[in-house]
Amino acid sequence: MRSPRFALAILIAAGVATASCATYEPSDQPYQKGAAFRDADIAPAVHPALDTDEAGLWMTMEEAEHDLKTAGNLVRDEALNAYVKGVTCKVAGPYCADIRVYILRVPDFNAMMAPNGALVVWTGLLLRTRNEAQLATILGHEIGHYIERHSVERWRDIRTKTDILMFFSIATSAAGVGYVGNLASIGVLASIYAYSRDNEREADDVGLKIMADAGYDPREAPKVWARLIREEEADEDKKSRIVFFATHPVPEERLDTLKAEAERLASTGFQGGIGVDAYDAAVLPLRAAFLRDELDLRRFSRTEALLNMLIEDGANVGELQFYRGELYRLRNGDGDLDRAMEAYREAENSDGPPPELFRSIALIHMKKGESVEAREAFSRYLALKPDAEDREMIRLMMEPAG
Amino acid sequence: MNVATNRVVVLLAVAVLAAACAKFSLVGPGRLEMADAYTVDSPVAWNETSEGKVQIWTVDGPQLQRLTFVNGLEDGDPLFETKGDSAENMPRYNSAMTPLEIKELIEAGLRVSGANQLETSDFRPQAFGSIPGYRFEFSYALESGLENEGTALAAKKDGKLYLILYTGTRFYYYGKHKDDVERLIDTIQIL
Repeated sequence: MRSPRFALAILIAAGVATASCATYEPSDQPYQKGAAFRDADIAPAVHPALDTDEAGLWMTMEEAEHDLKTAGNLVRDEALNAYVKGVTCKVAGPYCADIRVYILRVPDFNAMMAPNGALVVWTGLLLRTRNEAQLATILGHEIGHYIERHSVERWRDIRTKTDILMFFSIATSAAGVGYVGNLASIGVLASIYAYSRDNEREADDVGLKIMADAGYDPREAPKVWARLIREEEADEDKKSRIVFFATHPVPEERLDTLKAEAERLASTGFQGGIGVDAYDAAVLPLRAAFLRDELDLRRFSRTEALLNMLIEDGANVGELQFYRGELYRLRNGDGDLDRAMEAYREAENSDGPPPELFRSIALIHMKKGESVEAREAFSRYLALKPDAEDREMIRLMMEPAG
Repeated sequence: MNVATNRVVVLLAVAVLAAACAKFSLVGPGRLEMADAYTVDSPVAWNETSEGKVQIWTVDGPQLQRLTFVNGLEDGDPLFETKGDSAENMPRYNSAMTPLEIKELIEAGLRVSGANQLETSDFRPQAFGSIPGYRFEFSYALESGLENEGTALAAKKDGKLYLILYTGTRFYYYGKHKDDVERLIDTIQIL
């Protein structure tokens, strides 16, 4: 029962919400660093008193967090962890020491904040935000949920309706397969407990202010939502919504509010940096693995839209074009072999294609019966990667009879 | 909300019950036939369960070690039979696949089935009885973080895919019957 899925379910449950009764009124007072947003805010370095129900919730979360620490899909790359933790601290300011970051290898856009300060970031998010300011937007939003104690509010509400642990233990024991295989189910579960609009407005407001205050350009914030909406609109299969949208509803409505608020902040002097280089230095070394995870989901139209957006941004286009080619090769529909070859050729003429590009080109040639060209491409692959793990098999396939 | 919640609970409960239905029976030791396609000589006895084209053998329990036989996949068959979302994501076999694509198919199938941080090594030709086959080693982590190892041997016969997959926990259970599996592979006889 104590599996990471259980931990995830608890985090979703706790990080999620039913309607809250409190009504939120945005403040038009100038934002002051470290100032409380509401009386109910949790203060930095504060733990709930032991005789409160909130302390009980924290203890439950600490058990779930223990499972997160050993999760099979926890990303242990030190540089990436240090980077995301660093950005979290910049945004969280005095709350830095209260928040622990866990990066999980799951190919969808999501971040979840548990009431005790455990912050989960999925790698699908890191693939989709394109600079530090955009990452800080989502981290700020989640830190906003923490400061405002939204998950405690929601938990109090859920608890009166159903036995939450029983519910999620059922979800856990039924789940027998990996996250990749269950994103749609996770989305369904999550949507039952979606954040209320008031909670979302609060978290947007707090998140935007603290990211701008940390020195990031607030005008990057609405771009994150705009890109996600664009990706969802491109999804022809409609197999599953982006999980983050399930717990954070009505992105379209919020986009306008966020844009206006970002402009207002920018006009009052908050015009910080965007942070492309540091972001790329931390994320690009692992991006190929994240892209491969996306292809496993076989949500080809959505992944195609994502790749096209990333190609527009232009970092390591050779790698992106290679994965666009891989997408068509795996989809293998009418005309896809030609599309794949076209993308591979683009990759060849761009920065950073991996050696595997030539192995894939060889496969397309083989399918077209072009054995000479296939052998030539295999040779290029082996020349670029002489110790490739599949070299023996490739050499066999290069033999005229093979 | 309550209706939706109840529906999810019921669906999950049904899935739990279905998963609990697997029945095991004892096979081996000795020569055993696989789907009219080949025989193997097993030095030890195994607990066996099967569903469709897949047979699973284990000594200590399928969560600790398992020997999986996928027998005769045809065009369009999913690599493993699964239910729910993962069925949609499960890659499908195509008889035109090259050995490289078969390996890709197995890797994607493993990942969709819950193998995290999958790493493969040493993809090489290896005979499957008297027909040419190919083999690779791999490692992965379960969602709990438990580290597993595995080996895969595949071959195509008359356009159908035959696969032998042995996996187990890195600590103890994979190694416990690794030699038995090697001997079993060495004794494959195509029918």
